Amino acid sequence: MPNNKSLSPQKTSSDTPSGQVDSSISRRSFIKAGAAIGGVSMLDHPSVASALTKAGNTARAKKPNIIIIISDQLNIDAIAHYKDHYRDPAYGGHWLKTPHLDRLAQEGYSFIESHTPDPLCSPSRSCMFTGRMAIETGVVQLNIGIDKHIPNMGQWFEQHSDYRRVYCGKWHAGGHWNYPDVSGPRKIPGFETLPVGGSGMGIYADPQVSNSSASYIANDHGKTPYLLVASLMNPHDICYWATNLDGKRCTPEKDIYHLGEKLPILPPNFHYHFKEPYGEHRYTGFHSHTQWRNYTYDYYRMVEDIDEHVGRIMSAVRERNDDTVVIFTSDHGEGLGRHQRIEKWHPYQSSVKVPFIVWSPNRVKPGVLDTEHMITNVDIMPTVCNYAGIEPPPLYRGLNLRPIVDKLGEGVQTWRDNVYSNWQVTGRNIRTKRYKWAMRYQYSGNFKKPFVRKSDGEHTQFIPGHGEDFAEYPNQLLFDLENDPWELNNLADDPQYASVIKHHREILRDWEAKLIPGVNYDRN
Amino acid sequence: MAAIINDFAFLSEVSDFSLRGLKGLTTEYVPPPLGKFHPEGSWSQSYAMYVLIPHGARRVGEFTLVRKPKAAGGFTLDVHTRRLSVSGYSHFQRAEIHCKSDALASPVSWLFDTKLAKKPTDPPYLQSGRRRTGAVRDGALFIRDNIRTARTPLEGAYGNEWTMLEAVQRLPREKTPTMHYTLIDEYDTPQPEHTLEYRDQVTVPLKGGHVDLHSYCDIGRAVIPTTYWVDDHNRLLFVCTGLQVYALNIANGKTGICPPHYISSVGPNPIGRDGNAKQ
Repeated sequence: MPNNKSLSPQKTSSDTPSGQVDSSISRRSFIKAGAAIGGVSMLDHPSVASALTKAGNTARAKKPNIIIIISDQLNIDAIAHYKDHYRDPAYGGHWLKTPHLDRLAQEGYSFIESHTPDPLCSPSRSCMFTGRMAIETGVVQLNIGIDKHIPNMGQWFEQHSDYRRVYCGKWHAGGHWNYPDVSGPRKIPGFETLPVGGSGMGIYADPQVSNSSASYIANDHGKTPYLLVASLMNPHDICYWATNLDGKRCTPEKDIYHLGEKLPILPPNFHYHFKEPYGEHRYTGFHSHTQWRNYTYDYYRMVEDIDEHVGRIMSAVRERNDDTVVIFTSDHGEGLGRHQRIEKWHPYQSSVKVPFIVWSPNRVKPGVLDTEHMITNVDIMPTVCNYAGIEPPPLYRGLNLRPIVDKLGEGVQTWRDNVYSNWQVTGRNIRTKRYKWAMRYQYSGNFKKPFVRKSDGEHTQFIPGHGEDFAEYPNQLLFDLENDPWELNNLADDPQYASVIKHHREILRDWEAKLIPGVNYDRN
Repeated sequence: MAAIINDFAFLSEVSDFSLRGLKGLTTEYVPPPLGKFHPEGSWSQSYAMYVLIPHGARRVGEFTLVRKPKAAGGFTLDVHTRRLSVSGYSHFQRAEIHCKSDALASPVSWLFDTKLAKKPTDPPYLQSGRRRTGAVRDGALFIRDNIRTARTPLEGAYGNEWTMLEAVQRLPREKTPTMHYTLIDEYDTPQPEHTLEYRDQVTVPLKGGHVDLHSYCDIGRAVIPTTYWVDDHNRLLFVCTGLQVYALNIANGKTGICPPHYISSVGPNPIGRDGNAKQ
């Protein structure tokens, strides 16, 4: 029988019958509403309020530099430090060395139950830098601009703080381009640019990112703190290993380098037996187990390269010994043969889970491996705003992590009990403590990317979960992650889990009733 | 008898596999004239840097190596790297490396700097310039910047990603015992557990005629298996690693032909828009 202990949904203070947000709502209420979505309102809890007051006072007294280091397509288990948690020998930590990320984790606070809001570059990044869900930013696919009404992190900090804001590396959260220019339409609003990149390949761009970011940190003598984003591209290069470069160019079918037992083993869920939702397919371009293992071997070398770049940036941070907060994460994970997938955008854990480390020797509890609190990358926005002593933008969807990670934080008595995410435009995941439910909407109308269609010359919004145009594809997925971490057994068709699915469906409905689809895109 | 590579379709073994990245380049590429080349003497070489994109490759930068023997033994290797960026800027790196004349061209001490600028002579853009020094002594790597010196243990044989390009031009073109070493990557980060070994010989058709190439393969931490290709005169012509290809373009002032991009097969959207490869 399923564990019903986690099935009692907690009332949120922002629940409204209509699911609409009153534009006349007060700023304080905005914040409460945003913080409460998907869980309880943290700010209502006395211990949280106290912790926030203390932390907030500290933040206002002395604002830290904030550095966000982003990798691209990095699996959470591909950090060697976590291999005692991810004990199965098929996990990445057993096949690589990541001394710099290990040290970051040892000195910082790691979340293990950390998720991307959407396992694809552009949507994920749009969420990260706005605190809103992809449906709201409008970036539900690659190469779409963020809704012009929603401020990005740089714009928000520009308007509300004295922080200097610098972006170095891959953006890809707006428009059909990866690396921002220093001026013109491809400059990220609100940020100055360290002009790097140019090729779209991590092996070429990442040395520029780590060297230039480290130099900026080492040279800084500004009178005001800075917000620096160092956005690395790899291990995203693995995307070109299988599909784009004449099929086979970068992935040998044989063990031509005589790597033998250095080739990682196949994951336990390489073979699986259940029907998948519409649009989900195994990758069939590899012709041997060795080819899959070569693919994985090369992926881990890219992760080791990322580790080096993180080490270079962190070396500059440590040498300065300033008051600095570092957040390290990824935009999504990588299939890596799990469910015979490559790349991302899938509903499985390999795509959805991301590393998330908060580091600051003066502020953050060191050496914590948090397996309890479920977080998502929309939490970055309210967290960095709190460090900067400013309020988050209206309608932000995340939670401030400081009460959990700060030395002065008193912890939280209650926390969100579910995480919502999108995949492949119309796919949805609801993750609860024990289960993950994945489903996909079927859209029968004249679907036009991203989700706006013309109706009598007028734009019509795709409001997920509402309207007669939307049904559900069959073949939902339900996994008991406590007992089936590799997602081998789909429980969705088992009648005894009907109540579990019903509960998750209710969470989805509540979430989507609150989200406000984006409409006004900045494409270039 | 070396295998003659004239059809990349059948490729499967290590050398041939690595050469896939050159497909499309070899029909246009002409190496610079040999002139007087002595691997252990004074020379300069410039290489075009390519990244592989769908159905071809695109030239994204270049680097120059200048080798100067020292009377007291060893040599100096100057390395100037330029990676094209956005908005007319480039990422420049410059290093002066004092090396041993051993099999791995082990660096002893070096000065290196990095910056973003439009021209090499321009000041760094937005605090992006930095100069540091490195040295290996007493079983450790020392990296010094303006503030402090960082020490990292470094034992056993070691090389550097750029000095390796010099080293392979002095190695015998035959099977020798595998070398185990630590690669100092990007001038400041030791990556242990590397091996370098001679692999094999192939004959490759270039625009100006066939050339015999010998390969050395580097495998190890943080690096996609890398193959160095030297010709019968021990000149390094190509380096192939994953998505990256280097091709010798200028040798001692004499220029060959390295196209701005090359096509390896017919397909949609061979070159990404404005340098952004199709995602």
